[in-house]
Amino acid sequence: MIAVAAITLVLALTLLLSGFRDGIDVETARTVRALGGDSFVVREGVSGPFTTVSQLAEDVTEVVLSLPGVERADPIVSIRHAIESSPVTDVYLVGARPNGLGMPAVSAGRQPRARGEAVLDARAGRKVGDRVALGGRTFDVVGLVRGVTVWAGVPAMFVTLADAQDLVFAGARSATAIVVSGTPQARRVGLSIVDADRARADLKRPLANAITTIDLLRFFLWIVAAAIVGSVLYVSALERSREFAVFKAFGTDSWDLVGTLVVEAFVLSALSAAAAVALSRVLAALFPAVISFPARTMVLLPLVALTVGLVGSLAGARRAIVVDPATAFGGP
Amino acid sequence: MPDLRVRELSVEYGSGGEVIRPLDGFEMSAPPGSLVLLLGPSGSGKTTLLSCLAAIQSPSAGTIDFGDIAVSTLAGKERTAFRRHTVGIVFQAFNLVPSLTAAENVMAPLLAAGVGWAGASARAASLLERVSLGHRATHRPGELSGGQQQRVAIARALVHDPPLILADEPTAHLDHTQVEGVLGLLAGLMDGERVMVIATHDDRVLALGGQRVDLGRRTAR
Repeated sequence: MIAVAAITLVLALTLLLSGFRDGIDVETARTVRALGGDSFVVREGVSGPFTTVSQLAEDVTEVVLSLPGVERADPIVSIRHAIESSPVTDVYLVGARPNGLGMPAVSAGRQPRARGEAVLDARAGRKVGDRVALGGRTFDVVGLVRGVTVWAGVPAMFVTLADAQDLVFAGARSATAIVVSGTPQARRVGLSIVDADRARADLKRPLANAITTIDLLRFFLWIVAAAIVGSVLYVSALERSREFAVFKAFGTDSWDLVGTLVVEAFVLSALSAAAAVALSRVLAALFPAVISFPARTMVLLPLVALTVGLVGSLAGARRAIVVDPATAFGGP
Repeated sequence: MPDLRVRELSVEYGSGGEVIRPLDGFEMSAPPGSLVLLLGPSGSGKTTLLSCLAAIQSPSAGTIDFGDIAVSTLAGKERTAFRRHTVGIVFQAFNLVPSLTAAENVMAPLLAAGVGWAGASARAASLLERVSLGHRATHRPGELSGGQQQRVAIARALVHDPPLILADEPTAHLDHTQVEGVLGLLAGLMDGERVMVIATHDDRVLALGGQRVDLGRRTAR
C-alpha cells in the first residue's frame, strides 16, 4: 500500500510537470486560435505578431485585403501590460475591432463595443461589471473569455482597437499586426506573412529558456521516478528474502518466483499509474498555469510506468534467484 | 517404502580463515515409518544436517539416500523436484507468509507445484481441519497465536503428503500449553511409512520417543 502511494505520488508529480510543459503548447495554440485568423501580416523583418511592437499603418489592412487568397483582414494592437487596480495583474493586451478578427468569442457577457470597455480572461480574477485601471485609464469589464492566456497563465485582455491605439501609439491609427482569414497568395514590399505555426512559435519564444529547463527537469524527474519505483520494488524484494527462501525450500523454482515478482511489479505499476492519473488531475486544479494531459501522455505514462516497474523488478528478481533456501532455517 | 541412510557425511566451509566442520563423518539410518530426534546444543550441526537431508545444502563428502533417491548427488531441477514432492519442512520460525491467510499459506506449495486452485484449496481445508484450525482458515498469521501458526506450518509441510518430514526446533518459540498441542500433532503424524526427523534441544520433545541422535556426541541411541 505504501509502495503504491509512493509511486503514485512521484508519477503524479512527473505527470504534472509533463502536463505543465504540454500546457504551454496547448495554451499557445488555443490563444492564437482564439484570435480567429489563419495567418498574420507584420512589418518586414519583425519576428512575429506577438513579441515585437512594430508599427503598421492601420490602412495597410486594405492593402492586405486586396491580396489574392485573403478572405478577411483586421488590424490588432497587442502588447504586454498590467492592470493597475488591486490586485495588480499582468495581462496580454489585445486591441481589435468589435466582431473583427482578433476579438475572441466570449463565454460570458459581450464583446467590447465602445471605448472604455474590456473583455478579460477568467484567470484575471475579475467578473463582468468590475472596473479595472490600465495605462491610466479605466475599463468596464463587459465580458469574459476562458482559456485565452499566454506565457503559462498570463490572462489576455481585449479592448477596442481605438483604446489600444491610444495606449500604445498615443492615438495614432496604427497596428502591430493584421490578422488574416485565408492565405495570402502574393506579397507586398515591406510586409511579411506569418503563418499560424510561426505565430505560435513567436508567442511561445519568451518561454524558450523556461521550456528547455522544464524539459530537462521532466527528463530527470522521469529518471527519479524510475529510480524510486525500482527502489521500492527492490526493498520489497529484500524484505521478502526469507519468504523467497521458504518457497525455494518447498521446491518452488526460482523462475516461478521471478515470474511472481514481475506480475507484482506489473500490477503495482498499473495501479500506481491509474492512481497517479487521478491524483494529477486533482492537483492540476491548484496550479495557475495551464496543465494539459494530452492522450499521448495518458498512453505514455502507463507504458513508462510498466516498463520502469518491470526494470525495477529485475533487481528484486536477482534477489529471488540468489537467495539461499537454507536461510529459511533458524530463528526469526 | 523409502528408508533414510546417511553415510560418512561431512560438511565443511571456510570462515575467517578457519575451516568449520559442523558435520564430520556423520552416519545415520532410519527405516520407513520411523522418527529420528536430532539432539545437541546450538552449533552442533542439526540444522546443517536438515539442510542436507532436504537437498538444500550439498555435503562436502558422504552420501544421503532416501529410498532409491541418491539425495546427495541431486543437482539443479532434480533437487527442486525432490523438495517439491518428497520433503515437508517445519521451520523453527514458522515462516508463514504474513500477507496470506492460513489456508493460502497451506496451499502455497501445491500451487507452486502446479496443482489447481480448487484442488489445493480442498486439500488445505482438509489439513487445517486435521490440525484443528478449520475455523481459522481465513485468518492471517498475525491474527494467530504462536501455537496456531506452528500448526498451520505443519499443515503446510504435509500438504503434498511427503514421505519425509523435517522439523527444525518446532517448539522453540512456543509456550508450555502450545508445545503440548504441537507435540500431539507431531505424534499423530507418525503413522504409515513416513520418516520424520526432528532437530531439537527441547527435552519435552523426547516424549515422542523414536531414535535419538546426539550430534553433540555423534552417537545414535
